[in-house]
Amino acid sequence: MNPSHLIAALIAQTQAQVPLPSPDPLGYPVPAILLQILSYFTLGLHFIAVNFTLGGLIYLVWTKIRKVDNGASEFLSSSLPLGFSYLVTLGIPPLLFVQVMYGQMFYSSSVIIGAFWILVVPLLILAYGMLYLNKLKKDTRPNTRLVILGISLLAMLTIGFIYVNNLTLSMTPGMWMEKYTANPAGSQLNHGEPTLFARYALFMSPALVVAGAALVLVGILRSKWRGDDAGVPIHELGMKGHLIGRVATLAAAGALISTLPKEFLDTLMAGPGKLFLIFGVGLAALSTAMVVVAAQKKGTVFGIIGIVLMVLEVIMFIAVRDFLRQIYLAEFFKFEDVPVHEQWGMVGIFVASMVAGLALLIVLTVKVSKSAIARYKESHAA
Amino acid sequence: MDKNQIQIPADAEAALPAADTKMGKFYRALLKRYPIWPVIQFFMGKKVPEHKHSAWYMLGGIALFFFVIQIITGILLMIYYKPGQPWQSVNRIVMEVPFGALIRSMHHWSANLMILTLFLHMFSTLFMKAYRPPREGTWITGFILLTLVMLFGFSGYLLPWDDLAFFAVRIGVSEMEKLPILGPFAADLARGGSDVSMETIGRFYALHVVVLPLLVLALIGIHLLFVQIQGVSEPDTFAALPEEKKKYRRFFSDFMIGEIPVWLFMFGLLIALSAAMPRELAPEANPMGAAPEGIKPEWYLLAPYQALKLFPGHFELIGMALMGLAPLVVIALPFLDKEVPTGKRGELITKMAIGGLIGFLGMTIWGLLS
Amino acid sequence: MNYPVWNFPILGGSLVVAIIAIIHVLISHLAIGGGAFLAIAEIWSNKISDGEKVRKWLHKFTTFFLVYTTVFGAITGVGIWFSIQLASPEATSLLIHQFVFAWATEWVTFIGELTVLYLYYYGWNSNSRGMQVFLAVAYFVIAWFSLFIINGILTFMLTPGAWTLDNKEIAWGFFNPGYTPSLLIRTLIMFLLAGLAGIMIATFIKDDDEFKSKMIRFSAKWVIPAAVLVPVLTVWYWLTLPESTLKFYEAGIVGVAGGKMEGITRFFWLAVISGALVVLGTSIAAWKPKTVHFSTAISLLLIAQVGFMGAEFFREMARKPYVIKGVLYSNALWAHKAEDKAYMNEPYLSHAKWAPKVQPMTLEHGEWMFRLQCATCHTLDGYRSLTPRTENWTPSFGVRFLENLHEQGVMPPFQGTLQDRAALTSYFMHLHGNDTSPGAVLDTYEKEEKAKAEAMNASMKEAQK
Repeated sequence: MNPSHLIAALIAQTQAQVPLPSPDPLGYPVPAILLQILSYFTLGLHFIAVNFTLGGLIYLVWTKIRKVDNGASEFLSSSLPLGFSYLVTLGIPPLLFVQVMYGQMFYSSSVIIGAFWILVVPLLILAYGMLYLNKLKKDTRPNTRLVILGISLLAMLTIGFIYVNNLTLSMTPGMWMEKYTANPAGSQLNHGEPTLFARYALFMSPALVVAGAALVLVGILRSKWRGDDAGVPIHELGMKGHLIGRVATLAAAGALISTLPKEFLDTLMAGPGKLFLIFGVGLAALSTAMVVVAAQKKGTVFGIIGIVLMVLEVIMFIAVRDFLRQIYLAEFFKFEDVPVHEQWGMVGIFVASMVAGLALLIVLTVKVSKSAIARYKESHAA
Repeated sequence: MDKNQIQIPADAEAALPAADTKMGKFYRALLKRYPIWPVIQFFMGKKVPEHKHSAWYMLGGIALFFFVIQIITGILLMIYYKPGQPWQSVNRIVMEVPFGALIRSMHHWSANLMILTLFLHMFSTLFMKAYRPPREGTWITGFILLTLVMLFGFSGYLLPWDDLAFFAVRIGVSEMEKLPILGPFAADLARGGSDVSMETIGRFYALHVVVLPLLVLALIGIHLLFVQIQGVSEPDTFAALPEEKKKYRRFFSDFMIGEIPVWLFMFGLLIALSAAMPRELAPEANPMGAAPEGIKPEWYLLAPYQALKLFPGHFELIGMALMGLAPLVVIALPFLDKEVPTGKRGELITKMAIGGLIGFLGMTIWGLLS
Repeated sequence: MNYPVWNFPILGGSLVVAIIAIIHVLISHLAIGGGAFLAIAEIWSNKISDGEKVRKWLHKFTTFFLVYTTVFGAITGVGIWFSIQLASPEATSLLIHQFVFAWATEWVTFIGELTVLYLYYYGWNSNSRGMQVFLAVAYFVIAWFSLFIINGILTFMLTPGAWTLDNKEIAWGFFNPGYTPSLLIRTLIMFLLAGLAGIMIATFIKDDDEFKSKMIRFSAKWVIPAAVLVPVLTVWYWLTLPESTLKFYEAGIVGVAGGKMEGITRFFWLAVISGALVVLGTSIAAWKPKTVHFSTAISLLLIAQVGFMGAEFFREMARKPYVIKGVLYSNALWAHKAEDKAYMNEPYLSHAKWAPKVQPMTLEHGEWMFRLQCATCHTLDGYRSLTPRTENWTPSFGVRFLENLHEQGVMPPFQGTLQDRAALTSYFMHLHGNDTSPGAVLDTYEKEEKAKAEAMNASMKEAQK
C-alpha cells in the first residue's frame, strides 16, 4: 500500500469530513504536463526575482546599518524597485498555472486564510512603495532611511510567510474543515503545520545566494567599465553573502527533511524526484563554483554562467517541490482525473506573442544598454 | 436723469476689454447706466496669499457651495413634502417620485458634508490664527453660523417623521428641558406641547424652511462682507516674508475659478455618497412604541452628548454648565489671543486648541463606538 | 457548492473586490492612455522650439507615471485577482480555466510594457531621440493590447453571448456583444485620464505661467475625444445590455424598497454626471489655465475616480443575480443546476461540502445556511447587511420571502427544503433578539398556511353554494 494512503487514512479517521471541491468543469486547456513545464519555468524566474530583491534589500539594509558606502547601496537603491516590479510580474504566470492545475486546493486554502491572503496586497504596495521612496527621496536622514527600508523588508518577509502558509495548507485538505468552521473570516494561518518554518526558511535563505551572485557580477562590471578597482568591495560583499546564504539554505533544507513525514520522503526518493534533487544539488555546487571563480578572476562570463546555472537549479528544486505536493495530494486528486479540453489555438497565440515580445525586448534592451554603458564609461573616464 | 452724464472712470477704461469688442461695448453700456465701478474695484481688491497652506482657504467656499446645494435640493423636496402628512409624503418622495430618493439622499449628505466642512473651516481658522483682531467679527459670525447650521440639521432631522427622527429629537429636546429656568419653557416652545408630536413638525418645518434660511443667508452676507473688507488673513510665517517674496492671487476671479473644479468634485462626491449610502426611511414614528436600539444624535452632536455622560445623575447640571461655557470660550478667543506675531500666550492657546480638537474627536469616536 | 465562502466581516468579500477594483481601474486606464500621451508629447517636442523644456517636464510626468502605475496600478491589478479568488472562487476558476492562455498572453504584454517603460525612463539621458519616440509608441501599443485582452474577459461576464458551458467556444465568449463598445469607451477614457494627469503635473511648473498654460492646454485637449464620442458609445453599449439589467435600471428610478435595492440606477448616473463634471472642469481649466493649481487638478482626477466607482458598481450590479450572466449565480450556484428541481429541494447542508455536521433545525443550522448561501454577497452588519433587512421578519413572512426570493429578480433561487428556510428565518430573527426556534418558525408557518388553505376552502365552498 502506498504510504501516503496510510497518512490519508489516518487523517480520515480523525477528520471525518474532507470537503474537497471537484475540479473545474472546464477541465485543463492543455495536457497537465505542459502546464507543469510552464509553471516550473516561470516560477523559477519568479523565485530568482524574489530572491534578488529580498536579498538585495537585506544587503542594502546591512550597508546602511554598518554605514559602508562601497557603491553597492547606490546600485541596490536604484535597482531594487525594478527587481520588485519584475518579481510581481513574473509571479503572475505561476499563480495562473497553479490555479489551473490545483485550483480546487488553492482556492480553498486561500479562503481559509482569507484575511491574511488579502493582506498580501497592501503589504506588496507598502514594500514596493518604500523601495521607490528610498530611491527618489535624496535628502533623507540615515535613520529615516533605515526605517523606510526596514518596513519594506518586514513587509516582504511577511508576504513570504503568508505564501508558505497558503501553499502548505493547500496540500493538506485534512486540515481544512476544522480551520474553516472555527474561523470563516480567515483571520488565521496554517499553524500546526509541522514543516511550516523549515519551508519558510528554505524559501527565504536563497535570497542571500542569488543577490550575492548578482553583486559579484555588478562589482566585476563596475571595475571593468570604470577601469579601476571601484567594484572590488561590492563583489567581495556579494561573495561573502553568497556563501553564507548557501550554508543557511543547506541548514534549512536539512530542517525541512527532518520535519517531512518519512513516508512522503521515501515516496519522493523512490520516484523521479530523486533525479531532480540530485541534478539540483549538482547545479547548485556548480553555480557556486562559477561564482567563486568569477569573483577570483573577475570574469564576467563565469558570473553569468553561474547565474544561469542558478536559474536551472531553482527550476530543478521547483520540480521536486511539485512532486512532493503530488505525493501530499495523492489521496485526494490526480491530474488524470481532470478532463482536457484542448485550446491549442490559444496556446499558439500565446507562444507567438511570447516569442515576438521577447525578441523585441531583447533587441531593445541590448540597444538601450549599449548607449547607457557607453555613457557610463564616458562619464567615469574623466 | 441723463444717463450720458455718467463718466466711465479712467482705470475702468484701462481694465475693460477694448471698446470695439462686443464685451467691451456691453460693459461700457452697463457702467454708463449703473456706476458700480467702485463696487467692482472693491471686490477686485480681495487677494489670497499663496503659501503651502493655501488650500485651506477653499473651505469657506466649499461650505457655501454645499449650502447652495441645500437650497436647491431643499426646494425640490418642498415640492412634495407635506407637513400634515410628513412620513407619507417623504415615503412618496422615496418610493414614487422619479429620483426622489436620490435628491433626498443628496440633501442629507450635503448637510453632513457642509457641517464637516464648517468644522474644518473653523479649526483651520483656529490653527492659522485668523481670528485675531481685527477679525473678531468674522470669527463670531462664523461661529454663530456653525451653530445655526447645526440647528438646521437638528430641525431637518425630525421632518421625515420616522422612528429614528422621532426618538432622536425627543431625546435631544428632553436634554434641553433639563436646563434650569429657561429649559422647560424652551422645550415646550420647541415641541408645542409636553412631548414631541405632530405639533412639533409645524414648528420645526417653519424653522427649517423659513427662519433659519433667512437668518443664515443674512449672516453669510455679513460674514463675507467682513472678509471682503478686511481681506484674507495672512499666517505669521507669510506676513514675516519680505514684500517681494509675498505672492498673492486675486480672489476674483483667479482663486475662485481655480476652486470651481473642487466644487465639481464635491458635487461628484455627493452623488457618490448618495449612490453608495442612500438615506433610508425608517418606519413611521410611533410615539407609543419602544425606542429603537442604539439611538444616538447625529455625529456632529455626539461630542457634547457623549461628554454629558461623564456627568451622571445630579452632576449633569455641572456638565451642562461646562458645556455651555465652551461656546463662550470660543467666542472670547479673539479677545484672549491678540498677539501678532504669536507669542507665548498665543502658543499656549494653540496647544489648548489642539487639546480641544483631540477631545472633540475622542468624544465623537467614543460616541460612534459606544 | 464547491468552495468555502469567505465570511469577511463588515465589508464582505464583494466590497473588498470593489474597493480594489475601483482604485485599479483608474490607474490601469491611465497607464495605457499615458503611453499615448508620452508618444505624442515626444513627437510634438521634436517639432517645437522649446521642445527641450517640454521634455524636461515630460521627465517629471514619467517619474510620477512610472511610480503610480507600477506600484499602485500593477499591485492593485494583482489585488483584484487575489480578492476575486476569495470572493468568488468558483467564478474565478471558470474564468481562469477558460481564458488561461488569454491571460498568459496578457502577461506577455505586461512584461513588454514594463520593460519598454524602464528602457524609456532609465535611458532618458543616453537614448537617441528616435529611440525615445519609438519606445513611447511601443509602450502604448503593447499596453493597449493588454486592454484588448482583458476587455474580452470582463465583458464576457456580463454578456457571454453565444458561449455556453457546453460549447466552451472561447472566441464567442471573448468577442461577445459588449466587447467593441466597451473597448472603444475604455480607450477614449484612457486618453482623458492621461490629459488629467498631464494637467496635474503641469501645476508643478512654478514661475513660468506661460509654459504652465501651454502644457495645461496641451493636456486638456486629451479630454476632447471622450467628451464627444463616449455619449454616443454609451448608447451603443446600452443596447448590448441584457433585458434584465434594463429592468433593474428602470426599477431604480423610483426607489424600490425605500431606495435600498436598486443602486444600479444611482451608480449609472454617478458615472454619467461625473463624466459631465470632468468635461466641465477641464474646460474651465483650459479656459483659464493660470488659475489651475494642484487642488484643481487633483479634483479633476478625483471626479474621474468617483465616475469609475459609478461605472464599476454599475457593471457589477448589471450582472445580478449572476456573477457570469446566465451561467453562474453570485453565490456559486450553477444556472443549469438551479433548473434541477430535485437538486434544489434537497436538504441544502447535505450537499454543501463546507458545512460542518450540525443538528438539523438548530440555530447553527440557520447560521450555516447564511454563511454558505448568503454570505458571498451579504454581511450581517456591514455591506449589504442582512440584520437591518430582516428587521421586521415574522416566521411566515421569512419562510415565504425565501421561497419567492428568485422572483424578485435580483436574488438567486433559494436552495433547500422548507426546514432550511425555517432554520434560516429563525437565525435572522435571532439576530434581533427574537429566539423563536426553527421548529417554532416552521409550526407557525404551517399553521398559517393551513388556516389560509381552510379559509380558501371555506370561501370556495361558499362560492359553490
